[in-house]
Amino acid sequence: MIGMRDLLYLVKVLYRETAYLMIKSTRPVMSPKDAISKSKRMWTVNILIATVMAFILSLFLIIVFYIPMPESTNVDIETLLRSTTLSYVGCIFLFSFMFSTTTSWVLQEYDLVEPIKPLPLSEDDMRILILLSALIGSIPILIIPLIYSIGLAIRFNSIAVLIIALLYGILTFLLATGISLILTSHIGAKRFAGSSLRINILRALNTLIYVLSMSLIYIFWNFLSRVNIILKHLTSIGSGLEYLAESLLFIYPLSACEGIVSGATGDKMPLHHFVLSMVYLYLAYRVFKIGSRRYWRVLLRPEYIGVELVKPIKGISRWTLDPKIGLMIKDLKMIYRNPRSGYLFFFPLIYSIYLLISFRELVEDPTFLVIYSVITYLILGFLVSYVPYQLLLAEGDNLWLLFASGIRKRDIAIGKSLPVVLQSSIVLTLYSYILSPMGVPATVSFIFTGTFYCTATAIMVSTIWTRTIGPETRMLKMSVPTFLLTLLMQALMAIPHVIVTLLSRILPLFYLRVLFISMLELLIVVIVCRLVLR
Amino acid sequence: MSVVAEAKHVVKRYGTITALDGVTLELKRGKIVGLLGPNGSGKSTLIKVLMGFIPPDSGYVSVLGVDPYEHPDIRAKIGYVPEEVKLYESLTPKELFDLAARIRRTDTDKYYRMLETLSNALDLRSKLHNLIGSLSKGYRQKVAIALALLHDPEILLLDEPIIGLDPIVARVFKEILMELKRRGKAILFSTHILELAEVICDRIAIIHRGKIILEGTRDEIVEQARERGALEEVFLEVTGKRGEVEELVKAIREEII
Ligand SMILES: Nc1ncnc2c1ncn2[C@@H]1O[C@H](COP(=O)(O)OP(=O)(O)OP(=O)(O)O)[C@@H](O)[C@H]1O
Ligand SMILES: [Mg+2]
Repeated sequence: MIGMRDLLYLVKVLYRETAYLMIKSTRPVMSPKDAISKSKRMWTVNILIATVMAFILSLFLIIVFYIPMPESTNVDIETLLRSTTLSYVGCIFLFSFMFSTTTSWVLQEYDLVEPIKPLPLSEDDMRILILLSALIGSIPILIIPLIYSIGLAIRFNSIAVLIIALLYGILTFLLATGISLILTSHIGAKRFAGSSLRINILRALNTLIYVLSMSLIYIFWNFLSRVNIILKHLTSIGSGLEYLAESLLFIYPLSACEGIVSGATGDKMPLHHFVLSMVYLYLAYRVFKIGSRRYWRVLLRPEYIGVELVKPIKGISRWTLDPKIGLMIKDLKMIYRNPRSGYLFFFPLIYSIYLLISFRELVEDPTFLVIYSVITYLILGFLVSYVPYQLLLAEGDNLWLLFASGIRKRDIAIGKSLPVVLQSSIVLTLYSYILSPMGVPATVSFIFTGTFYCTATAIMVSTIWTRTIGPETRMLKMSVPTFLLTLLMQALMAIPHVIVTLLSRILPLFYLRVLFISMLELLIVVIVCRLVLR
Repeated sequence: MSVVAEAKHVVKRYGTITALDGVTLELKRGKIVGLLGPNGSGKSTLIKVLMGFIPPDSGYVSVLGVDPYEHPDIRAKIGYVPEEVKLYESLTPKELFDLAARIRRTDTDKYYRMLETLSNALDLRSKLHNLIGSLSKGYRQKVAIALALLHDPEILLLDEPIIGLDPIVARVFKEILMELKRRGKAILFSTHILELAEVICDRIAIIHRGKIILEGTRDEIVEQARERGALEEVFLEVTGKRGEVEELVKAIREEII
């Protein structure tokens, strides 16, 4: 064991190294003092923005308890507590999960831990180090439990609710981080080096397990929001099931709802809920411990399995002889082999399947369908526009390789957006099933409009980020102004679609108009990309 | 004899450090130029400037008739081996080569022939379909070398290319360079292995503190070397390091005894 101070110092070093790598390509010369102050500033800005976002989120969660309810609503306070608590735990879970996934990936992919591996760090040291490195960026997430539990404690004048809400906040954080590390090391532990049939199957399984677990986690949290209705159904059916429903309530995360409800509305200290949350805290810590241990082992020695295989050399087809296509093929292969590096690529796919299931029951009202279809592709465009960013980040310090081969920046910008064409057209084709009552032309035009729009936003975001890279870039710089610029441009691109949707009444014309707008946008974006990038 | 790449009075500063201080150098068809110099003398910087990776602060760079910084696509006709080889670990060498071929738009038949020849010559055949992450350092170096040669480039810019190669491959690589030279390629490589430079270079340039302090044909330099003993002696002499080295050696001896 080394001391806490040394560990904190190591965390600082890791963070500074990350920041330095990002700044290096634009500022090759930097005194150590400069590097420290710059990385501090970067850290402060990032934390500040995340804090503001976490703050707003917590306010959303707590505000319902502070505004007076109109008499007419028959929502009782317990139902309200249950549903906000579920969102509370869900938020912390998803944010910690995503954050930990990214951090652990960056630590491994950029070999940041390499220099400290030879140091005599024990497993416990390492666990704390990982926890701290994850914490340093996710401190803002911990604001949510603070505000939520204090907010509840004041509103219901109860210390019990404060303690229980805090406990569940912390244990959820540990649990999510632990699960993400377990998944991460599952992917990282075995890298499949060969390309025999067996290895190919193993590789496919590995990726499938990862993607499925990710989707299950997202779908699980979405599903929970309906759980109360299901439980009510259960109780109303028969006496035996009542008992089942009762016991389900003691299972995490439903136990959090019950604990907080009894803490907030009960008169005495809900001792059994307190004990239960301590038990869950212990279990979450175990999961975290397992996760961090596995992660550390993988960091120490990723294993490549697979036989040396001499296969006949195949040439390449003339049709794929293009920088953009080459880049896309490479990126898709890398995402497939290391889905962690591109989970944003899978996310819209997963999410769309969930939405598809939940929208099925919705009305077939034409106006609704029109609005629905526009909202769908606008949201999708927002989601997929991060794919090029993530793909650029995934280049790591290999960008020299592309530039040394003579690639132009505009080809990088467009090549990084090509996977989006594939992704958005698949998602939209799935979605279009809901639109089928509108007739074939409208549905087909919806698919094309959406794909054009998504591609255009992706190219636009990609162009903005590609501007910041060069042959000497070691790590993509996550700069806030650039990020804000992408948001602004996306908003600009969405405006025409919103206006047309609000104005148009005649359906066939409406679909032609948005199709035209999206084509025009795509054209403009491609021209801008060619003008801006060499 | 045609000049295919040149740097004229190139200056490159990193803050207060002057990495290149008015360097002038020419690369000609069918000639191998060896770039020698102590650590930190500016070899890698010069190669990166010729690649167009970094723009010079002043001076003039021209590669195949254009400024490589302004025309990045000219690099499709250059073969480059960086001093520190970083490759995509989750791709196989073959997939990496395919990527480069697509970016460079190498003719597919030519690419296939070159891939066959080079993977056999560099003993890469058995590793072609394994992930790069699972390869040893020497194999990664071979992958980088193959990557630099596959498109049959006009110019080769090699930054300490034979580091990490076993003697057999190093020998093969030497032969490959000689053959490429015969086919009229212009080659610049930096190295710390003076014997190698002595054997294969047509011209030798010694760079020190960002300045080329000695340049000439191999014969001229070897002539100088003969007077003084070996190329190593010339190197120590012109870089003014002889006194330093003698003192260091003395210090080491005293320390150890
Ligand atoms: N990115 C950079 N930022 C700041 N200074 C740099 C950078 N790259 C190189 N330098 C400085 O420029 C000078 C020349 O470096 P260069 O890498 O060209 O040397 P070199 O001759 O290749 O040395 P070596 O034999 O060690 O590879 C050195 O003083 C180095 O410290
Ligand atoms: Mg060097």
